[in-house]
Amino acid sequence: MSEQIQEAAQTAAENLWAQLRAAREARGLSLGQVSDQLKLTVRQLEAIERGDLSALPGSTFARGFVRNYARFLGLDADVFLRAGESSEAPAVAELPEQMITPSLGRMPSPGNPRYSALPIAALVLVLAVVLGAGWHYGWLEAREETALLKASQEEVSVPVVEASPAASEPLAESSVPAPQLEASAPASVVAAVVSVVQSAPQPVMPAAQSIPLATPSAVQSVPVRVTQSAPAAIAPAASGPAVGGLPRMTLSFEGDSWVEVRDASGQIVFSRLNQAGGLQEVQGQAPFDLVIGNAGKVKLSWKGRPVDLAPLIRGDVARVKLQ
Amino acid sequence: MFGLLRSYFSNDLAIDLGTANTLIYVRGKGIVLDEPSVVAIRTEGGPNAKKTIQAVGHSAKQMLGKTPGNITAIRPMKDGVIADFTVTEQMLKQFIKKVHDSRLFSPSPRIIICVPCGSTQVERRAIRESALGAGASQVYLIEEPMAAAIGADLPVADATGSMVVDVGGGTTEVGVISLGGMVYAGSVRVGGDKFDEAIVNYIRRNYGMLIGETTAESIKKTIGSAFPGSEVKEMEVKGRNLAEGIPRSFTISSNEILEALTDPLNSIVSAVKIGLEQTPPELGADIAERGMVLTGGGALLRDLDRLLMEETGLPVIVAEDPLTCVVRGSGLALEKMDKLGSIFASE
Repeated sequence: MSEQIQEAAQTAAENLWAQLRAAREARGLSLGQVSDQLKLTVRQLEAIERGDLSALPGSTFARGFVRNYARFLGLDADVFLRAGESSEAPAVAELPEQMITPSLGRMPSPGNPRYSALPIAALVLVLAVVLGAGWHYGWLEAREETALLKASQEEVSVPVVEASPAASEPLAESSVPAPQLEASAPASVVAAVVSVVQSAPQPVMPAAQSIPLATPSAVQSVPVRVTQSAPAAIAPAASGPAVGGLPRMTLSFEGDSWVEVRDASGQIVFSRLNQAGGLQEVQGQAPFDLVIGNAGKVKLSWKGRPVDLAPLIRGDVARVKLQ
Repeated sequence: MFGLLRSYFSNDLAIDLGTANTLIYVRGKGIVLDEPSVVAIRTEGGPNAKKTIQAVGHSAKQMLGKTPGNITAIRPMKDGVIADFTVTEQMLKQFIKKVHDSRLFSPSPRIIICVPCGSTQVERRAIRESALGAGASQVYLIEEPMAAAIGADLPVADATGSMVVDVGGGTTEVGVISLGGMVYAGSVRVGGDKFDEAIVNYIRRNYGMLIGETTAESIKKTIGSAFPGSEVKEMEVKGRNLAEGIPRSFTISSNEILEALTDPLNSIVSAVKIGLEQTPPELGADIAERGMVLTGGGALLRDLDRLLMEETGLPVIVAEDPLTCVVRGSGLALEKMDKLGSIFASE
């Protein structure tokens, strides 16, 4: 049954292509004459008349040739094209997946030099070594500290109220009212500074102690007292009375040193560059956080006992937390 | 990875920016726009004097030659390249707007755009810039013969020579392609426009009648032929008589149009012959076996294939749907643009 159908289909196809030959012969044209007109070879024309499109070069050209031939004979080209399609794969324009075979490698070009991995690796290694050494010897941190130092110096220059030598005595004795102090110094920056008194190089009164000023607006209830004395006043200053039994911290400077002190609430108590031979005394609620520059030239004592800074020094800077 | 993501959101476009027609192919959708490359610009007077785009495409083409003083219908492309940069950019922008829905976060499309193989560096740069100005994120150029060959389904990747002759509106491109690249590329600035021009001039000389380019185009499409056939067609044409200054109608035959078209057709034939001369012999043998393929709107001129067959003695076939060959080829290139580096042209 199916054989019969197949056979019938085959004869139909043969009949279809035979139409071309019949039409040509009806016009009294030989294959050679058609070949002259269409510029196709006799072999190609014979293949078309047989319906053997695979003998023609590629589906695009085969379809073109069939269309030309049918049109030349005055027949409907579409009938033949459809028949050709069924015998071959449908002609759908498709680009090959790979236009050209994949390249095997890159050609070195003068404009685009190839980089060898060796120098790059060496560079990375050197960089790593330099970074490692920097970390180990604390070069990077030292740089960080100096940056901090500069920033802090600028920050501090505003809040600290310094009494001129001449005015130090009246100031110390009459204890300038707090509101006035507040007005002269931006309170937002030095909220924790309760009192800062700088005495003249040669204070007239040995007991020129600063009296803690009660700041009504102070948020912190932690009283902190800072006393800075010149070399001549070391003895009296050191013996200043303790305020409310709070622990006392004393810093004495053998060389210029920048020191920053923060109290328990993280507020900066003071942060400044101290002259060689100076003395700084801080009394207040522990713990204190200290950053001491040029720490080799600074002696720290806490609650009357000296603190050894030597093991804490990294690149000239010591960071201390006093409990 | 990023490209894959982008391809989900953006519709890349392939554009055949032709002298006569502009076609746009959208990745995954096919040809979505086929409009004449014409822009109508209206000049407004008064206190807010400005120039506005009145129409583009079909509606603008209908205005050609029929505009009042304040509207100018412009064909910004000439000889396959940009003649008016600003107008071309605006036209492209309008066309892209029609086909590329610009949502808020959709990225601008990548565009493949065709250039004539004979165009200069300046002309290519202008086309690239105008596409960038019209909203493309990246522009890739493809030479027209290559796009036409891909669109005509020629075996461009094989080691056989394929010859394609693309007769467009402004240029005729001849290309011989093998192994995915162009072996020979030639271009003459003769195309459909030159045919129209030749018809206008012929009728003015021989009939003393003036006709417009639109009429000339319709004559060409109706009775134009490139080879003396057995059938002679006639057509009634209306134009202005130069001597009387009054519109008159007259009848013209296909043989006369053939005579009118002799000059531009000879230029095309000689371009094809030069191409065959320059082709390496091995590829020439392939072409002799398979023949050449005609694409472009000019391929629709009756018996142009017969003319080339007679002149070259080689089989000539007209590609299926020759008008869209170039844009279909660019579209196929677009689908696989990430893999095909060799088919794109550099500036």
